[in-house]
Amino acid sequence: MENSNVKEKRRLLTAFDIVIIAVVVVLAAAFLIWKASGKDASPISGGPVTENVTYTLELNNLPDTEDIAVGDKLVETVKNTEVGTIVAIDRLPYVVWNTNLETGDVVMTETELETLHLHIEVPCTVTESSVSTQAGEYALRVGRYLGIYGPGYYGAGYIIAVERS
Amino acid sequence: MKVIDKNGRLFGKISFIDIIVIIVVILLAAGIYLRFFALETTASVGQPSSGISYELKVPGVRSFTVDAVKPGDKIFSTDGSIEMGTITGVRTEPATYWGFTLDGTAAKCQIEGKYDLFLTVDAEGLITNNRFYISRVAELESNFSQPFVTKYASFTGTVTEINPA
Repeated sequence: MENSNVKEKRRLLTAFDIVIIAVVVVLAAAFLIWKASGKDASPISGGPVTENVTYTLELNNLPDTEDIAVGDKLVETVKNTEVGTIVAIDRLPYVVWNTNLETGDVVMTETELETLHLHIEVPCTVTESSVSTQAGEYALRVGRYLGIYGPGYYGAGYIIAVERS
Repeated sequence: MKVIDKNGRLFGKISFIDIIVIIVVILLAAGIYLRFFALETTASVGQPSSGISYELKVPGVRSFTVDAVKPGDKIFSTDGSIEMGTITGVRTEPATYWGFTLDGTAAKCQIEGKYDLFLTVDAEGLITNNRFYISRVAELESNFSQPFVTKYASFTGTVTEINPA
């Protein structure tokens, strides 16, 4: 009796404990093998690529554009993540659409106000389905509305171009 | 032999903790199998996928959006999770809308500087009882409007036509 009690106390692992450990190890190994095989990557791509992408943001009718300059670093206004550095600026007349009441046609009219096209370069993660900023995973797509903070200014407008890789 | 001995072990061998851990491990293994292996197999041996061709109308966009969409681009649901096909054709017409002239006559009016964009998309999916399921999960029907994205653009499109390819 005493010997069997001693034996029971000395046995740290029962047979079933060993079986459980073995199963967990096998599952973990299978998971690591599956991860290493690359099948966890998007099935429609060969995996994400990192590269600098240039996109264009249109800012219309801002009261003060004097401070906006090449070299400014920009952050988006929602999560304050970096959305790139201005590499070029085009300044154009601000065009508005209005209805010709006689014909019903909508016509473009130039104003004396200003439109800025900011060409912005930012490191991105590029997959088959998206081009996203590395810092905040913000997907850059033509048609998306983006608010930005620069050094001492704010602006918001539509993305009108994204460089194709 | 008692079913549960004085140490709380089932038939003197397995503790309740061991049983709980075994159950958790089995459920985990079953979940991993279903998630990564069984469901894919089931989808591929079920009803075979059919070719589906549909046309999207994206009304009143500027040239920036037209330039951002090209044949060969894949098109996705708005969150990018479901592939909705590949664009095989891009066509534009001057944007128009139904408005009124000064005397109240309804007229098809032009919108200067904007375009109606027509995309032909080829996709794979299920056709069941004249209902179309793109990628087997996303139902799409004529006259249905929803947001779409490509790698470089986002827009809202209306299905104007959908047919088996």
